[in-house]
Amino acid sequence: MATKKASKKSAKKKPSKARKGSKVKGVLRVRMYRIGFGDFFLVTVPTKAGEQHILIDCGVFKGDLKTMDDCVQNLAAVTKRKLALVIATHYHADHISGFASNFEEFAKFEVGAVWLPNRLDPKLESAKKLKAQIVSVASQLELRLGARTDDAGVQALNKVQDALGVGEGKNEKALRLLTEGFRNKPPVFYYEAGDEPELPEELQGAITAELLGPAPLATEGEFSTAENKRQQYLAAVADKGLPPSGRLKPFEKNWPASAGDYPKAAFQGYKTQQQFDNDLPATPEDLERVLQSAQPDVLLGLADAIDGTLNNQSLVVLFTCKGKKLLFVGDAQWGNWSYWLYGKRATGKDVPSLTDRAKGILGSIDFYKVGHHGSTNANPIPAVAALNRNCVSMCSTESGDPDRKRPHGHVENESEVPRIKLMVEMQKRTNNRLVRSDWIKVADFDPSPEARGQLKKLPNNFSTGDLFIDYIFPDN
Amino acid sequence: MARVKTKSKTSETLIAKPKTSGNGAGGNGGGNVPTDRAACPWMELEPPPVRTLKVYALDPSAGNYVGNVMSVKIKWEDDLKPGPVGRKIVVVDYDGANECYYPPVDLDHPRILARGGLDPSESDPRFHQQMVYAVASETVERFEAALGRSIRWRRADRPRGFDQKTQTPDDEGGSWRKTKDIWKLHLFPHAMVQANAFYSPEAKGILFGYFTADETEQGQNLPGQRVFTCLSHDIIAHEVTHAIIDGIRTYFTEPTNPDVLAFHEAFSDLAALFSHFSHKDALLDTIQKTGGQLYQFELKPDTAPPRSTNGTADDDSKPTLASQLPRRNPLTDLAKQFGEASGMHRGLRAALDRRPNANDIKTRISDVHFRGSILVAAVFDAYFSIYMKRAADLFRVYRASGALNQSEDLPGPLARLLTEHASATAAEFFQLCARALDYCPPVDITFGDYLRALITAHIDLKDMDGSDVRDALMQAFSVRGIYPESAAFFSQDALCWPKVPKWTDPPAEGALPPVEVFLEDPITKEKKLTTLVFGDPNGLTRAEKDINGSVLRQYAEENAERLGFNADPNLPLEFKPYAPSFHPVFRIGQDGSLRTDMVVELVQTQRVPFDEGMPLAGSFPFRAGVTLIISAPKLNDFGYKGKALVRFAIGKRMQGPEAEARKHAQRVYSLSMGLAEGNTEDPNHFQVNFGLLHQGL
Repeated sequence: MATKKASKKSAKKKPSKARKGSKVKGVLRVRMYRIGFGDFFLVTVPTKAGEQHILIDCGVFKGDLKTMDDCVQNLAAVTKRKLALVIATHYHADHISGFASNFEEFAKFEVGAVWLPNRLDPKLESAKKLKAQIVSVASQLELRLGARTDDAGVQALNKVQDALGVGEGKNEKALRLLTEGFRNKPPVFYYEAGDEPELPEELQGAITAELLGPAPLATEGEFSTAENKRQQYLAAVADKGLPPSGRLKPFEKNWPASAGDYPKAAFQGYKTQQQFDNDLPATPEDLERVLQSAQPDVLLGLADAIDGTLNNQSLVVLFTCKGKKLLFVGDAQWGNWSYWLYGKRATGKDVPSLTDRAKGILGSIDFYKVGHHGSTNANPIPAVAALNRNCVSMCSTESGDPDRKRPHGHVENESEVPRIKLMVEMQKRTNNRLVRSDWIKVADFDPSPEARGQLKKLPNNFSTGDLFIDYIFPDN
Repeated sequence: MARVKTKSKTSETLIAKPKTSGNGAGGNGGGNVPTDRAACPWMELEPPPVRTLKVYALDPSAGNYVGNVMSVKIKWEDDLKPGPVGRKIVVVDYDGANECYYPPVDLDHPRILARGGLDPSESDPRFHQQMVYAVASETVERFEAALGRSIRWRRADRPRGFDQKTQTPDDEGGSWRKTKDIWKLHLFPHAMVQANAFYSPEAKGILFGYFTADETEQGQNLPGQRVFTCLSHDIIAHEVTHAIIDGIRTYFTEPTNPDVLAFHEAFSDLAALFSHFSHKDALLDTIQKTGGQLYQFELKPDTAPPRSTNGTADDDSKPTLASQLPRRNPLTDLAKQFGEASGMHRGLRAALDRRPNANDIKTRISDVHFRGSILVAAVFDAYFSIYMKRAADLFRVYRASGALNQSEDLPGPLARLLTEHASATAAEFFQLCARALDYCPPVDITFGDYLRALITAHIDLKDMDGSDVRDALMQAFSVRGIYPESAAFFSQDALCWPKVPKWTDPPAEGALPPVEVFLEDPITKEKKLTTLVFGDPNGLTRAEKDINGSVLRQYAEENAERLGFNADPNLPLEFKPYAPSFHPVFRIGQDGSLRTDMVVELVQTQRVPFDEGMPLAGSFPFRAGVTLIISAPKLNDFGYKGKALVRFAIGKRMQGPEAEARKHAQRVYSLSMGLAEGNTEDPNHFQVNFGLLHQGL
């Protein structure tokens, strides 16, 4: 059995420090594979012993281009099935499904260490319980939402399936690989913000890592949007089951009636604009339509709660290598971000500004991995506004062009991911050095016109392969 | 099951038809007797002033608890149609889950009238309709009595620039009616299968859900039984209060800071909880079972528990009868059946949930109900303190008579006197809480603002009397860490919003001119000095409202800077200040005279990007606003004497350091709420969804 370390104390005993003055070989490179709507990043680090590799996430969910197997093969070839470090930022299929779908291939890999967010630590009772509750509610939702054909229902189904995984890419299977499936049974570390991570030997001296998120469990309720209440609600639903669906007979006896039993005045508050303009009466159907649309869709709300909760568990890592700072934020949303951006709650009275530390980090980073494939919630505006104007950025995403049917959200109601306006602003902020994964052609999939529209040509030091985009950090 | 007849019966039907033949009717001694009833007005019976309807004081789970089945008296509506469909409230029993209607109750049916409303029944939807109508009407009337005016429901936003027909595709007849206006509040007793009930401006009403009780921890319900939120007095009162606040304060549904929605929830809880103290039978019973200490969480059991044989709390002393079990105090618990049926072992919320501390206000910032419960506890702390203070002499007399302590059964006369005290004090507090709404700023309300509003309303209406009430409120808020951000000191004087100085030449700082402007006469095109029309308690005509709207808009523009607005004349029309509401208010002063005021909301909006350097990344509406309390000119034999003077101007400014701090706070808070996501230009984007809020999501 591999060593699994869940204790923060043990992790903190061994702070990683870069050794100065050592001669390293190779280049510092970030490779972004185009797999669809998911994350698959390989960081190659020059070390004294030659290049070492860090894999950060390996998953795809919607917008699957079916290139995952080829990309994993490329990974195996490039790394010779040897990874110094594997990081799975959080328990979402679009970040870990590849570990499940390529279980046998990954089982041949030798890995130095695995880092996971401590919300996946089986030794932490509260985290274990919450994970079980999420899986339970998501499983119930999957059955219920599977029967729906409306767009909102389909989108919600996507979210719960992202929490569970589908087909060969089940999240539990991926987690099994990560915790006990690699050939050499590497140590697995479960971290949260503030922990000093233990780097595998291969990376020591070549790179340092700082963990910025997720917010420590002890403070979670304060740093997440309605996290506490959301979790309470999820717990209640996991315990008692989903609310009953559809019909429930309220009365034993029949009480037949129709809209005609009501005076016409009962419906006149529901005139449409057309009825107003033409002095026409409202009908019972107008009232029924409004009433139906006003009801909160509990299933959608729960799917959102699960999605947000898991995203917020993302392990956020700041690497420093050769004087370059690389920030990988997973899909962290506001609660996760606010912990290290503000260090205080946004109370509405004693309102914090970005901490000096946050400003220092964001203002000096050289590389930024765009959160959650380009959504607004996962890339807070104050953080984007504080980004170093000289940094480069990568966004693994899928726009769904040319029919503009997004894997996530809709352009029509401005809920689309990647968010077009945010991408445009980020291009401005980074002086056109934000590159999206759908900028390149892979297999039969052409580049996204939207991505090409936002970035006409690849910036310096970027290059492309059949399946990926590389960025090689220039030596100063 | 036979369905009720839907034919409406009015008081006319109570009058026997006169005979058409014979000499004389009623022994008049002959002559020409009119046969047309209209010519005999003396035969008409006046409509009754009130209608009596039965309701649950709490909810069905309280069973035969004293006073649980009670009759409420609500204003008689002459033309009440089956539903009931009244002037302000409409009940439509459409079941959204089963896509069917239930037969509407006809409250004018003689058999229903004769028995003072249908008897309570969980299995008859017509009683459910009666209950929501009765409790909603009762709640509205309590507010109208407290506020001194008729309440209205939410009106669609009418920023300037949208008033002109050519620019307003959703106008009907200019700005007079909009499709989003709520003219009548619709109540849907069985709208959905959900453990939820909520006010929805989109649905123009309140949706009540029904659900099955928990199978294992269902409290005083059958496992898996149907639970109807529309049969909970508290839930109805709470939801109707949401609708009432929304009609009074348009922008209290925009979460600009963590207190805004918490205030909406807290105020709705306060209204529901204070209504408990108007139920005299239940109050008397509770006073007896708490030894007069109403704030206790538990009632003494009906039967004394067995005495321990060995003097210790061992098994011998544990209750063996249900009547020996202590029960939670029903007066301080909110929505008992809902909470128990959901497995909470108690009501949904309580008046005094937690021990007072200054830390709660700093935690669980985004938990609206938790935060709201702090405000509820502060007000009830003050209420119970005042009640105990006023009852102190009675207890002293009681103890002087030899009573050892207050936990003994209280004698009936003492309990009745205490009931009167408790009820009157509750009515006084509710009135104060409601009136304080008129002394709140129209935007960005905080708990501290509300404390200042309470203190100001109390001083304005009671003058210096009753400073103990203000003291109690200040102490109760203070121990919970609620302080006004804008007051310099924590004293009654400092907490009272400053009065507007008299208008002089040159004007003093903070002074405002009388409310009068030169308006162009639409016919003669002459400019005439025009002031506000205060009307009478029956309301204003449309023409009078139009005049007031024009006067206020122009007044706001001419005095923009003094009122705290951006006075830039080049602002587009929609970003100039406007008047979302104005209400004439008629109240009785300390000296017994009628006081006529007008409460006016003036608001200005600015679109602020989340980041100035990233305009495409979205923006939020930043609003300044001021509530004006304007005194009507005095009336003498020759007409109005004097001018309409602004007594209070309570607001939040658009410019300056305070505004910049608010802007930053709102920006960060909006981001934390995820409001930067989506179409931020959509007017509904920043509006709360009470359905999700009450659902716990």
